[in-house]
Amino acid sequence: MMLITNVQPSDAIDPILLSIIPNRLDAIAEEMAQTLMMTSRSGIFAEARDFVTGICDAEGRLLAQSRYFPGFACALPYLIPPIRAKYGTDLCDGDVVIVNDPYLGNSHLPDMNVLKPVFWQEELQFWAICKGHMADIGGAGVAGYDPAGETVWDEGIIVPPTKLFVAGVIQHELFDVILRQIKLSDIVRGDIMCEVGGANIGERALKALLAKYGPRVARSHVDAFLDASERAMRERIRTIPPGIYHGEKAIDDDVESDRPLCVRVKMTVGDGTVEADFSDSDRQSPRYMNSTDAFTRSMATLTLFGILEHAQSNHGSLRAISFVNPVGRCTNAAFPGSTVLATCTMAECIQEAVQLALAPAVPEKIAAPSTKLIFPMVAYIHPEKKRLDVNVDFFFRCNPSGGTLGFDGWEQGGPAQEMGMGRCPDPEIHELTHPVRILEFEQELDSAGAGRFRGGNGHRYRVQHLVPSVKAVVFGSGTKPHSTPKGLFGGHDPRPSELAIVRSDGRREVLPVNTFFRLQAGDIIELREMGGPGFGNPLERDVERIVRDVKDGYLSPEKAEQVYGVLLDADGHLDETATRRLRTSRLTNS
Amino acid sequence: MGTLLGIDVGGTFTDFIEIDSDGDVTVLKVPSTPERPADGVLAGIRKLADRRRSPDDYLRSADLIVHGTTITTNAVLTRRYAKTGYLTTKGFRDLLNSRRGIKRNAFTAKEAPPDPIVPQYLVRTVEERIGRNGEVLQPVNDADVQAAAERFRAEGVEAVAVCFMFSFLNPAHEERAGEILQRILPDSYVSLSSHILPQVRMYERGSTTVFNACVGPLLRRYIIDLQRQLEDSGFRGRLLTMQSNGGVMSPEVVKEFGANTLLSGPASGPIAGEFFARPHGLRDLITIDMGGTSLDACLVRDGRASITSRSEVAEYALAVPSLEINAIGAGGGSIASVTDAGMLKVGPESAGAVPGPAAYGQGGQMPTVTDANLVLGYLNPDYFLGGEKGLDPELAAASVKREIAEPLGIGTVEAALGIVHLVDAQMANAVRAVSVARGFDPREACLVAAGGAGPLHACGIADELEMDLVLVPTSSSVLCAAGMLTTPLRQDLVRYASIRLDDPSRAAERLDELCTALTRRGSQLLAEQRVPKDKRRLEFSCDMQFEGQFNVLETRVPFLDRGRVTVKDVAAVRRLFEQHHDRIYGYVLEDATVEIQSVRLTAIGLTEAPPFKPIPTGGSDPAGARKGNRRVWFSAQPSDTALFEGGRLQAGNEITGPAIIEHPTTTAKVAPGWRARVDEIGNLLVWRERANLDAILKRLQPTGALAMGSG
Repeated sequence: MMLITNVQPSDAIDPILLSIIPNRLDAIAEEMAQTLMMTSRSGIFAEARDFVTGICDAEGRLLAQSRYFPGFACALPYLIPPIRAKYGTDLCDGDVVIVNDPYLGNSHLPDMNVLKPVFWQEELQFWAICKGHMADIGGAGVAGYDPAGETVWDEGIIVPPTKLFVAGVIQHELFDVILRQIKLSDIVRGDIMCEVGGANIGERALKALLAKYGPRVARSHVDAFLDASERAMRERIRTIPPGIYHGEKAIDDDVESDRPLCVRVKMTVGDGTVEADFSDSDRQSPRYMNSTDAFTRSMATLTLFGILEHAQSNHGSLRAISFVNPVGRCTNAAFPGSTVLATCTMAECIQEAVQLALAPAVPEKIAAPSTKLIFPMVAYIHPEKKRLDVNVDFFFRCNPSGGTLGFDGWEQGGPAQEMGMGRCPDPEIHELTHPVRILEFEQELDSAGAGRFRGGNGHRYRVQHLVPSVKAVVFGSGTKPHSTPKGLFGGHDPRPSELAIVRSDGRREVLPVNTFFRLQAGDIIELREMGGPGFGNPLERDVERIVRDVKDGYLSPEKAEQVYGVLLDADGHLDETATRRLRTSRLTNS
Repeated sequence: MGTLLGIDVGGTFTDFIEIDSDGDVTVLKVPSTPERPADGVLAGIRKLADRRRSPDDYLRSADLIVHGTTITTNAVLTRRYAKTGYLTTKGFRDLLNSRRGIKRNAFTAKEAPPDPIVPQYLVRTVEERIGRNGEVLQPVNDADVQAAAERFRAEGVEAVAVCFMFSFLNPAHEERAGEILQRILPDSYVSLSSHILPQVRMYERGSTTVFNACVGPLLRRYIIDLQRQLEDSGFRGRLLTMQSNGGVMSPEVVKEFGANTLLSGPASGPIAGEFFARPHGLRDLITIDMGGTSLDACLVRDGRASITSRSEVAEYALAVPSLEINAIGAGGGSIASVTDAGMLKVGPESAGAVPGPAAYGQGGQMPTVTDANLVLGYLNPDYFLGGEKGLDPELAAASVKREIAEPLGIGTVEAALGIVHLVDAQMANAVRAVSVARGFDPREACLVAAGGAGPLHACGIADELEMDLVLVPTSSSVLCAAGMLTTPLRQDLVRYASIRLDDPSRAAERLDELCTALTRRGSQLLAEQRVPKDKRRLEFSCDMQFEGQFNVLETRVPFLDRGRVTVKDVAAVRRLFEQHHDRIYGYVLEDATVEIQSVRLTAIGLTEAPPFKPIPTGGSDPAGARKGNRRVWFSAQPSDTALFEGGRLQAGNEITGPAIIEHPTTTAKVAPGWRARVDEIGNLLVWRERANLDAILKRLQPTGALAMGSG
């Protein structure tokens, strides 16, 4: 529950309503989210929760947002200006607008946005918004991912702001045209309708709120709440010493050549203000490794929220942050560049650049960056449904996070864009959905980046595909030492991840990322995932934690000795004296 | 009908309510005996018996004992679980430990996952595999199970949870592992996931099974002890236990399904609150039950406390249905202290029953909320627990002075007022968490205040939340115990169905098969628990989805209890699902096939409503119950405050605050600015004096509700 404590008293503001109205808006955003999670036809919403729901007011100020897919922190308001530019006042009760155009406030094509204007006495009051990742969006790749694609035209169907419902009536002709472009049209039809349902739920609840309090009271309390959020955000920013901080992070390569693609950020911290300037980032990738302006801003905002432990995703918080992000950089691609990897590899890279910039300023607050994602997607003919399906396997996305002062990383605390809000699929649901058999999903020995606070353990995931692929693609980064997340203040980097295919004859082929590949029935995809990076000198790690990691089977006695300077006997008992001697001598020699 | 007993075994007190064959109600509180909780129960029963002419026959005349226990709750709060091992399919060792990757808060890295109930070195895997159609892909490797069992034995494991892939489709492998475990570890408590929760989703099923196992041994010991002691004392009636879902179950079920008892005590509070508020036409309530150690708050909307199947216990997934109750560490025994930073703090530490508040004179040095209430004159030192427990006001005052007033440089009365205000504010926050945080305005509900300490703090909490109406139930101090006597027997059953409605005749046939089997099993369970035929209710629901959806929506299908499912019924099932889906999720997929994943049956054995006898009716003047005056501090200045004997009040009496109403087991405070009226069975309605009670009731009643007996 939000407790609002720093509001200036005013006659018009009822202190209890000031808690109730914002909490009610949060609760409405959450109810909308339940529709997406509970009624989706794809594991993307239902299991992994790759969506967000929220409420903006008539001017497009963000008021509330559900907590799923934090990468979309404060991403929703960027959708409103293009819609207002197109429709002006030509909107009415019962209209529903859909849009996925990355150049009109979106992130990448697979994220389909459904927005419903909420009217009260014929006046626009709110927008109920659902934004979520579709199982497919057409195009030549798999589910919209095409490493060979060079422009947004290659990725799939582009929908500018368009009315899917006009005054409550669905536009079947339009919907048919859209769905005809999409390979998994049954699933996508269900999931767009499920976003419409979420927006309807939001609209009903917002109308009930307006019926109870009236638009004027709602408005005055929302204003007071946004002001309070702004003050809280500025207070938090004041805990960062003012100054200019630089950070940069590169990914494996720009896909077309071996050139590492680098995001550079200059963070200028003033008195309760932050400016994030991405001007020095590399020019945009000729392929899909690019972000949009809206999404780059959203990721930088999210990263600041994480460092400042500020969780109020609304317009008030946003007032304290400004951006410089010129067009033509990988952080703000020029039309018609492709931006499919915005929400994944680019997100991770933007976050790490901001974290590395601020690490020297706030070492006690910062976490070692999150791990990088490698993600295969396999299109195949479903043996029972007798139609094309795509296995979007979120077990590949159960990434560990990095250590931070006081705390180890979480085994599934990453990736960056999810901040531990994504959800690992259930193995039974996964096998019931796709013709695969999960052979192993376990944390791997010695995979965590060492540190006083270690990173989370990486997983070893082995999954056997029982039918051949029609088309398969793998995207991501983190297979090279320069692209792994950096350990901080003496903490170790993890080893890079490795993806391989084990053929039915036992041959093992390492698979390069950002390529197409083929699977035969019985082939096994095997991921040796990187662990999270460590924080602080491993020789300062609490000995008890080391002994426990050895007992639990996550750390070998050899690594305990080599990296942590901890000696155990054959039964796993600590040799205290020898350990103390070894650690002291190493610390003094280092 | 013979005597009925409701017993609520709490952390500090064990509460009793007895309704005899004449409808006379007796209420009693005795200290709990946490080391061996059954002893406290028997001690209370002996006390009740001693009031009878032939005490030795007392239990022989008792028909029914319904009891709630905090054994499970306390095990969770104190993390005192049985040492538990977890046996799972090879390749899935870290599934529970990984917690599906969910963090509580996205926007902080400064957080550790909760310690697992099963430490990682006690998670062992077994080579075995069932496939998605229930087929055996790989037989159980007995040697793996044996090796795990040996390891568990070496580590001193008391309980083992077993959860294999797809065991809900084919339990054979789990059962085989269970046999081997039981052979090698004959004294251990073994829970199989296919038995505890036969439904899809390995993480939730495994987590629930672990929870069931780790509380199982303690609970089983307790129930066996209680059964034996009751039988030795001549009890031949039915013993039932409250479960988290708001129903009751038999001892045999409790021993196996410990996970269902997490809210065994508190679950009956909202049910009792609803029972007492119903005659006043009040349907939206917030019930609070403040005892010695904790406060439970629950929102009741339209007469129903909300139930969830997706709850978490101390951050562990628990997929059994339970009421949504918020518990915080604030009670009469909560300790007040001054922090290093010079701030007054109350709770969550509690002085419990031993040493108890400073005023008990049992060696407690730290002042508690009870001590503050005594210093302020709210409590009668000679009439706590009906005079059985003498309170020493001087010890209380000395403790408040030494520990709070002097460090803060204020007077003793000021310090005591501070303690009371602070605990009221904390309790108001607990109420906000179940109302405001869900967007529900507490000003639109009636506060039902119960527990030994609740009625003293009700006006304070209501003030914080601007609520206009408080209901203090008769026998308020034992609300949960009373609730147990108003609770039906309830057993939830589920069968995996996988029925597509696009083939109506096949669907009707399959549905009929399942409903027949469930009806047979449900009726059998009710018969075993001795529910007569005319008291049995079977409530069917189906977990349904539009084809391709990942989750299901449970929809009530009332007509399935009729038997003989027809093709026409199948169309009706679809209609019910579509309406429900639109109401909850805002849309319908008109041309998609609907599938029934599971059929659920809630088998209910109705119990008779406890026959509370009306109290004598009188006029508005409460003079007959007046028993003098006392100096009471509602502010820094004392006021000469009227005292009333609760037991002598008559229906229709009205009392203007400030006033104190004393019952043997509880004390109610009518604060200045509040007014109280006594209803037909002795409940108090307390409202803001400046408003009119009928107007408040009218505002809080749902439109169209019939107001009855409001004074």
